[in-house]
Amino acid sequence: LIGADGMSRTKYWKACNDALRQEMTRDRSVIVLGEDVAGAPGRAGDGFVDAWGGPFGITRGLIKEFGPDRVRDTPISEAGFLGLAAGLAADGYRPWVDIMFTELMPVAWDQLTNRIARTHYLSAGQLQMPITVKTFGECYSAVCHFPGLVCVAPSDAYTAKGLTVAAIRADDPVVIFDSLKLLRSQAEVPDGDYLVELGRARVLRAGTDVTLLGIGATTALCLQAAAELEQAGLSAEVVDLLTLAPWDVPTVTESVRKTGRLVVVDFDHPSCGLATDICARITRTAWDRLLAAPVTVTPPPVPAMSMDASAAMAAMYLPDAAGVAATATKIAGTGPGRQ
Amino acid sequence: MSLCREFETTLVAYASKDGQPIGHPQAGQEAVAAGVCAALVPGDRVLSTHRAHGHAVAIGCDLDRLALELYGSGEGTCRGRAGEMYVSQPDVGYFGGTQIVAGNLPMATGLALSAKLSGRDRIAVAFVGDGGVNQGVFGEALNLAAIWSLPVIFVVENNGYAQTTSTEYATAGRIVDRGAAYGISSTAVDGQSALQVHDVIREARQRAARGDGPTLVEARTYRYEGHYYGDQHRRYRTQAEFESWLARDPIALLRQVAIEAGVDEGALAAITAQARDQCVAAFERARGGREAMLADLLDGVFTDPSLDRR
Repeated sequence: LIGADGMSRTKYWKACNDALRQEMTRDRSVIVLGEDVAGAPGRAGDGFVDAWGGPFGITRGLIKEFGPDRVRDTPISEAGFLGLAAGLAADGYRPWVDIMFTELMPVAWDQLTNRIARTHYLSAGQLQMPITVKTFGECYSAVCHFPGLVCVAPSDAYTAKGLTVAAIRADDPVVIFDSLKLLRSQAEVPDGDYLVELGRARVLRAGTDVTLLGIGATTALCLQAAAELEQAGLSAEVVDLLTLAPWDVPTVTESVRKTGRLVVVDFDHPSCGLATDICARITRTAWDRLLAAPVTVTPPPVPAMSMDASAAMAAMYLPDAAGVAATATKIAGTGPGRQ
Repeated sequence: MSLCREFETTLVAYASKDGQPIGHPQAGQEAVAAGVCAALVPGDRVLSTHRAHGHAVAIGCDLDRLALELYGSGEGTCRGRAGEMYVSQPDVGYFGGTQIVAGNLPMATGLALSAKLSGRDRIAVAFVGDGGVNQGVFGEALNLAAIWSLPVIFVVENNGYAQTTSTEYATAGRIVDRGAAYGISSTAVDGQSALQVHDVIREARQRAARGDGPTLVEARTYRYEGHYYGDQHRRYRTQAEFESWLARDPIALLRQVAIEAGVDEGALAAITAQARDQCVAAFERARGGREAMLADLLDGVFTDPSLDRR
């Protein structure tokens, strides 16, 4: 975490908006692309400019400051405009592309995986893909599967701004998975220029009995569960993963080697997922210090959408802090340390 | 054109002997690649399909390094990582092919938008086959190019077959009409005539460069081999059809035009001989090239080396 000056209590969406404004001011090669990012495009003649403010306010005001060349509304053509971004990036621009929800990502799958993920590697460095793809939703494991893409999930407004800045400045393609659950959450955010380094996790709370690993919005659940566990006399360390691919194996390993236990809390589908991948890696890197098998807390294996269809669906589907605490308590009751 | 033909002939001869992949043959289609590339200027960007090596040769990729790349050598254009489909050499304007038949059209619109935003006299060309016109991104890319009036030319190489499936069977209407549906200037051209292709592309390039937007060109052509080398293509193509296209070989047609225009036959033969020598030398070098090593293959996933090998 680099640099900081004045701080303001800032909402998550506004932190993303501030990051874009800052980077567009700083670097003329940054171009914003996506559906409705300008809010009612093509109606400037009728006085409608920024009439809607972009999806969830993330791009609010940008069209007025930077104009339609750099804040470019696209047709509903996710594959088309993501591939277009690859062309811009190959020529030195830094497109920031809004794929509104992760459910829309499969429409552009070829462009993301065959084109954007592979181009730097397959061209042996002749071409770079400095693209930021930003999306709302938790279906990140499938994207993390592809080498060549950096995947990040901010856990609060502070990391949202810092990771967005890092993503835009990176010469590698970065996919940002924002959580709608965090949209109106607030945090102290530096007004000025700072970035959260790609590839690094952060330890948010020190503990000795169990490591709770949060991914994006589940980090808040881990902190809540850690507070509950403290009441019960169990000391939980909370690690915030932040970069999902390639993730920070040393930091997570160090934590688990200290506590001997790992609970990964993940909102993504469970099979072939990031959470199980982390458990498998950590089982090897912390094997001689493990007091219990690493476990995951995830939704059940049903193809529900990340946008909740109903309150009942949400209650059934997503893990909560109580469930995280219960799982941690269960594995803390095993192994030599707690017998 | 001769260089495209000789490159493939030499590739087939050497790779068959050496157990190397031959990829997707383009013999018969050279007039499109050569006609298009001859009408471009340095700085223009070209994207290919997976029938790619003809385009790579026509735009001027380094033949020695291209042959090494096809041989999987660490000394190849892309250190032996890319092979035929993804090999690229951007310093000559060649941004590579793709497995996905229309997959490169969106990227071409991005390269064109880049040219437009930066105000450079530069255009993008995307080759696509008749199979590619039935993928969704074909329409998406045409639409983007049209609404933003982008300096891009979509060149449809209609060789009559998508793998083994005939265009007649798989494609509704006329391909050239699909451009018109988006309000894009669209032309059908004899893809066996390098001169006709060249003229149409030169005009399209001028239109794009003066800000009048994209063009779609449908070039009717034919591949002499199968979809891949070894494909039993005569099982799905008649003898009569095959012969009718052999009779309109693009190199022979241009040679005839040249001779009628008074070009010396000896000079034409020298062009072919020189092309052959160049290709033989390239594949002799490829045969002796250093194999790709782990360092060629494991590093450079990311530009930031701290993210590699995790």
